This record gives sequence, C-alpha cells and structure tokens, in this order.
Amino acid sequence: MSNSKKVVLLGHFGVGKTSLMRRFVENVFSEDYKVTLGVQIQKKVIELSGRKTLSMIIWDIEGNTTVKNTRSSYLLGTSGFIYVFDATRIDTFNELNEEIEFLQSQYPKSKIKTIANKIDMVNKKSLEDLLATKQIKCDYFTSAKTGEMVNDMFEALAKEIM
Amino acid sequence: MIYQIKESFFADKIQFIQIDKSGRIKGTDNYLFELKEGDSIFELHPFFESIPYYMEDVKKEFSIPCVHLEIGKTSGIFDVKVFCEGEGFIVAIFDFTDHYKESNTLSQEKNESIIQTQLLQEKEEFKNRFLANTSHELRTPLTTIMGFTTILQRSNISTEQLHYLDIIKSSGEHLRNLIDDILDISKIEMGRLQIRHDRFDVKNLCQHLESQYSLKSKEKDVKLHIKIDSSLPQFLVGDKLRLNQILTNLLDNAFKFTNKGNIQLNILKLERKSSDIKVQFEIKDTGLGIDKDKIDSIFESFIQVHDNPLIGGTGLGLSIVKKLIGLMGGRISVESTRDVGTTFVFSLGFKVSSNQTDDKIETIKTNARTSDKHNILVAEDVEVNQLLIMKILASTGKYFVDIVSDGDQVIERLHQQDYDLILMDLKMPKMDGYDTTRFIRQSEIDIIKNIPIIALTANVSPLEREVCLGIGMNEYVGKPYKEDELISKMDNLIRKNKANQ
Ligand SMILES: Nc1nc2c(ncn2[C@@H]2O[C@H](COP(=O)(O)OP(=O)(O)OP(=O)(O)O)[C@@H](O)[C@H]2O)c(=O)[nH]1
Ligand SMILES: [Mg+2]
Repeated sequence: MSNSKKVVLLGHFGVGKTSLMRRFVENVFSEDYKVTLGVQIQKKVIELSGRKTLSMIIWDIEGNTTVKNTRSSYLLGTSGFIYVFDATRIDTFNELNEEIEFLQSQYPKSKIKTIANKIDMVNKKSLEDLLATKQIKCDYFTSAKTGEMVNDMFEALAKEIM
Repeated sequence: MIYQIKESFFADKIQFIQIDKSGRIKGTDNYLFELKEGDSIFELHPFFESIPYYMEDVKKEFSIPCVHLEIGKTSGIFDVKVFCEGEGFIVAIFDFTDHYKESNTLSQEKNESIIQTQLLQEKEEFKNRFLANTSHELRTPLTTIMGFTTILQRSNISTEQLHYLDIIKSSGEHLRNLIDDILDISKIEMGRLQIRHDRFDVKNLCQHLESQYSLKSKEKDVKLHIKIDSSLPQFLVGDKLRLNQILTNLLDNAFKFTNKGNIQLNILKLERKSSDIKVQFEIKDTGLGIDKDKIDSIFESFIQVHDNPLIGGTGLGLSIVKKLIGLMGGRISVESTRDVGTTFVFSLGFKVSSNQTDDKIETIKTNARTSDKHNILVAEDVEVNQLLIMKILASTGKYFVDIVSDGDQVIERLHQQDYDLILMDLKMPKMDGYDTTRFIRQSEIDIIKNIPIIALTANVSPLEREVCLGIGMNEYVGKPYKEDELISKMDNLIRKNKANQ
C-alpha cells in the first residue's frame, strides 16, 4: 500500500474538477453540470518508468470560492493538490496567488499544481497575456472536454509525489 | 426503553467497522454495507485507502463529512468518523443520503446562477476591453489624417480641392466623435469614468446650445426653444461637460428625427434642500416618434430604432446618455407617439454654488474633447515647419493637434477649446509669439492663463532664452527639433500643469 498517494482537486465550483477526474480515470466527458456535494473519490493506477506504479487516490471535492472555507478534513494527508481554475471566468482565478500561498503555508509538504481548464474555449495566447499581467503562474492548460494535457498533468504530478 | 427506541431508530443509519492498520476487516455490524471479516476494506472503496495518511496529520480521531461511497449494491452519501483503536481503527459510517440530496438541489441552482452571471460579466468585460483598446488604436492614424489635412488646407490648392478637403475633414471629425462615443461607453461600463464637480453657469450653457444649433435650426426650419425656470439659480456645481454631452446627444437626436415643427428644452427646478437642488430637463420634439415595441430598447448600445440608412449615427448616443445620467445619480424616461413626437425627461441633483455673481467663469467649449489624449495647439506660419511638427507629434499617437498660423488665431482657438499645451513659433504675422504669450498670461480665465507654452525658434541664443522665459513661456526648443527632447519637455509641462490644477 505504500505506493498509493492522496491527491485533491480543488478550486471554485464549476471549473471542471469532476470532469478532469472522470476524463483521467474513465476517459469520459459530459457537457452537463452536476454539482459535487462533499467529496467523491476515484482511484487510478499510474505506470511510471522502471516498472514502478503509483495508485493515485483522487479526491474530487465540492467547489469553494476560497481554500480558507474548504473543510480541512478533506485536505489533510494530501501529497498533491491540483488547483483548478476556469479559463473562461476571471472570478475563478482573480485571487489565485493568495489561494496558492495559503495552501502552501497550511500544507508545506504537499506539491501544488495550478491548472487552467476549459482551454478549448479560450485563446491560449490571450489567456497567457492576462495571466502575465496578474503575475499568475500556471502549470498546465487543460481541457477535460478534448482531453488536452489531462493525462500529462496527472502523470507529471504522480512523478513528483512518488 | 428510550435507548431501545433510539437504537432501532439509528440502526439502519450507522455502521461500525473495526480494521487493522493494513485495512483488514476485523469486525463489522453490517447495518449499511454487507462486508466480510478478513477482507481488505481498502479494496472495497478507495476512500478507505486514504485513512492511514490522516495519521500523519491527526493523532487520535477525525471525521470527514459528506463522502460519496458505493460498495456492492449500496451507495449513498455518508459522514465518516475514524478513531484510533489499539493497532488499528474503528470506522463509523453515518448515512445522511436523504439530508444531503435535499441540499444538493439548492447548491445546484445557486452555483448555476452564479456561473451564469460570471460568464455574462466576462462577456461584457471582454467587449468593453476590446472596444476601449480598439478605439484608442483607431485614433492614432486618425490624428495623422486630420493633421495632414489641416496642413494641406493651408497649402496652395484650388477651391475645388479645398472643398474636397473640407469633406475629408468633416468626415474625420465625425469619425472622431464616434470613436470618442465608443470609448466613453466602454469607460463608463468599466467604471473608469469620474464625474466632476465644477461651478458652471446654466444660462451660459443654454446660450451656447442655442448658438450651436442655430445653423441646424435654420437648415431644417425646426425651431429650438430653450426655457429656464426663473427660480433656478444661475450658478450650479456639477459636471457641466457631461451635462452638456447629455443635452447635446438628446438635441442631436431630436434634430435628426424632426423635420417640421419645433424642439423644446425645458429646465425646471424640482426641489431644493439647502444647497442641494434637483433639476428636471425635458427635451420635447415634434418628430417621427418611436413605436411602442421599440421604446424599451432605445437606450441599448448599438440599437437604432429607425432602420432608415439616411438617418445615420452610431446608435450609441442614447446609451451614453442613459449611462451618464445613471452615473450622476439620475434617471431618464421617454414618452413617444409615432408621427407626433418624443419627449425625454430626466432629473439630476446639483449643488447650488454659494457664489451667484457673474464673475470670471469658463465658458462651455463646444467640442470639449473628453479623451485622455492631450490637445496641442501649434502656432507656426511656415508650411514646412508645420509639416515637421505634425510628423513628430503624429508619430507618437498621443496628441490631438490643431495648427494655426498667427497669434490672433491662437487667442481665438483658446476660447473655443481647452488645450493642454501650446507650441509657439516666435516670428509670426499679425501678433507674434511674444505678444501672444503676454496676452495669454494676462488672461482672466485660469485655464488659458496657466497653459504651458513652449517656444519654437530657429536660433537658440542665451539672450532669446532669457526673454522667452521672462515673458512667461515655460520652455524653449531650438530647430532642428530633437524629437525625444520635444516630446519629453511637452509631457513634463503637461503633467506639471495638470498637477497644479
Ligand atoms: N468546454 C469545456 N467544458 C468543460 C471542461 N471541463 C468541464 N466543463 C464543463 O463545465 C461544467 C462544470 O464541470 P464540473 O466538472 O462539474 O465542475 P466542478 O469543478 O466539478 O464543479 P463543482 O463540483 O460544482 O465544484 C460542466 O458543464 C462541464 O461539462 C472543459 O475542459 N471544456
Ligand atoms: Mg465537481
């Protein structure tokens, strides 16, 4: 069991946390928005180089406008956080730097990735410009809809938390 | 007795499971899920696999609310409590499926509506950013076109060519107004427009409107009557520029759609509480009128009620009017009957100026530009020099430039339009640069008196420099002009002067 790790998807509601998990674990996508209440958990075994595997226990938690209001019982014992924002809604990343800072200070041992999701709906270049003006660093630009960078993102995190 | 009732009540709602460190089930009451002793609970649902990780952060017990679990045929939403017990854990699972499902509907509705609003705002923001940027960009080439047209007008050309240039110039001005409108709208919507509080003369504002529309009134044979309530104080404090913009937009609109009859502007005092006064403005025409079904949409951007292509316009005028009035804390309403006419009514709050005497006060300039570019007046009589200056200023894209060729024209222009700076040649016909400067510095009107002036001259001698600064010029630039030097001197002076205002 030592090769399993807890990973938490968090961010505002409707940014695509559930969709990212389902794309990664089940390779499906739905246009319907079904709000997540509390937490749903799925697991996926990832094969890493050198015949090593990691089972990623993915916690898809309910959306929250700020990490401060998120139940800490969901966040404890986590190796990697995936902070997802919605590239089509500025409100979901306006305070991103403060959010990440807070998360880092509360869980200093955990890795954090920032993800711009729904990249299929925006012009990546202008998003990058906008992020630059807000001095926001973003690790991955993903689309749960097309699958773009979804696996890459989870796998990269897996390598880091091994 | 009561304990038994309580127990039976909760029996099918709670399950206790005892596991060892590796997740092996050592005991279970199976009230909710059918589990077998000896099985690994970690294999049943990944949630349980995370339990050991909590032990790094918490010591004895923890609870996790609202967890979705599915084991075998049973699924639902549960609160889970975990206690450390010897070498393993006790896991207590509470079934709250019904309770959580209820709140689910609420969250769903709430989230959907918030997301919807955010997306709408986003669109609006995007549109405004786009409009603001584009209209700004559009002005740079337009300034160049207008500037060189002015220079051409002063060159040696035939009357016919002059006529063509007039057309270019007036089309250019029209275009500039449209661009300013668009910029205004996007600024208002992004909350970047500030309302000013200046003392102004209501009577003067009306006289100005009268003369502004006198030509149009004659051309169309439509009379403009302006009536001011005699009990309204003459001097008020408010944003006269914006008020003028509102009235001009509404009057433009009235003239556009009225072909016979008259247009009235009635200004009425509504109520006054000490120095606060509410004023009603009514603009009434005998024009085409607006159909009932279209009347609600006339204040929306880009909507033109009359599809007649001959009646031009951006369709932005009324939208600006409504937004400006809103920004100034008022409301506008409209009543209209097809082929009878239209009446717009709005009221705004002002302060009554404590000084009601007619001392020096700025007149309302007809085409006061409300942009963030600087208005520069160039006084220079030699055509090649005009061209040179124009090229330098146009290449920066930061300025609106007007060119005149003698001192008399400088004075005339200063009274028609606010400028941020004058570039003044010293040798000019009629009144030269020195006399013009002296005249300006003695002006009664502060804005004119304090305007920054840079002297432009061919031969830079220390003596001439002394003279220039002595009579009140602020700077001195010799020919040939060094572009960077000229621009940085201009910007410095404009900034300093603005700071002092
Ligand atoms: N176009 C597009 N739509 C997406 C993408 N990801 C998610 N969506 C849509 O966005 C909506 C919300 O997705 P969810 O995955 O439910 O979002 P969530 O972050 O889990 O939301 P909460 O559970 O309320 O916090 C759904 O309608 C999805 O179809 C994406 O990459 N592209
Ligand atoms: Mg979700």
